[in-house]
Amino acid sequence: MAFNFDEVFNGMVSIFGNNLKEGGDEALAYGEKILAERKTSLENISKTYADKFTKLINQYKSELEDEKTTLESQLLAEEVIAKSAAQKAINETMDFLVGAVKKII
Amino acid sequence: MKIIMAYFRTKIIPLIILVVLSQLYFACGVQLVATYDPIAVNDIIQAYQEVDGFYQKLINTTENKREFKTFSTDYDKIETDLRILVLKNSARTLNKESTQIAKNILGLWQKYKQAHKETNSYDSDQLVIHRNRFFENFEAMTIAENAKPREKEK
Repeated sequence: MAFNFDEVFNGMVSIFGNNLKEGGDEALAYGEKILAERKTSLENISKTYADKFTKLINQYKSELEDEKTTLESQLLAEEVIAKSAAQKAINETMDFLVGAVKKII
Repeated sequence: MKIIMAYFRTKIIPLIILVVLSQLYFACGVQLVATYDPIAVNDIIQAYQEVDGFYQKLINTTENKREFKTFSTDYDKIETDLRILVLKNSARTLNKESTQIAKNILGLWQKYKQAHKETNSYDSDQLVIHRNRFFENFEAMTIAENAKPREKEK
């Protein structure tokens, strides 16, 4: 039987070409899948961490507000100390005056 | 006559004014702030004991077991006691500073209770911060009470 090189060669080219084409289509399809998956994954990561950061920042702001409240409490205690000292000063001064007036009377 | 009038104006009238003022002072005294009350100090310390004991209980519970329902009864009881602390302080005259500190403490308690209820958890780092914060507020209230004049100083 004679070997028909052209037929075999054409067959080989055809098979080679088809495989390449299929491989190319597969590569293309997988490439598109990669892009879609990475896009979805990046969106999920951004949303998750954006939510976490937002929550953390809100917590931080809340704690700062509570620090202001505590400072207010401490300053109110200072006010009481100051008022008590003023009251004592006034009353002792007046006691002195009353004493002096009583001596005159 | 002029000499008598001048003497009256410079010596007698000021003396009369002084006598009247001193008698008024003697009757009323000057009061700028509420009088010290040892019972109030006890009330503050008791309330603080409850709050700090509650936080110790939370700290002793692992983070994943700090469900709100486990602590809700304690939350409610302590909130009532803190409201009573506000009420007792507001009933005393010239006591607005201590009343406001008590309101601050109650406000913080309600805020943290609500946050715990919403998240159904309590972060360990926040626990420490909040516990210290309550200590500082109660300390301010105690310092204010101890600074008030004693009854005999009026």
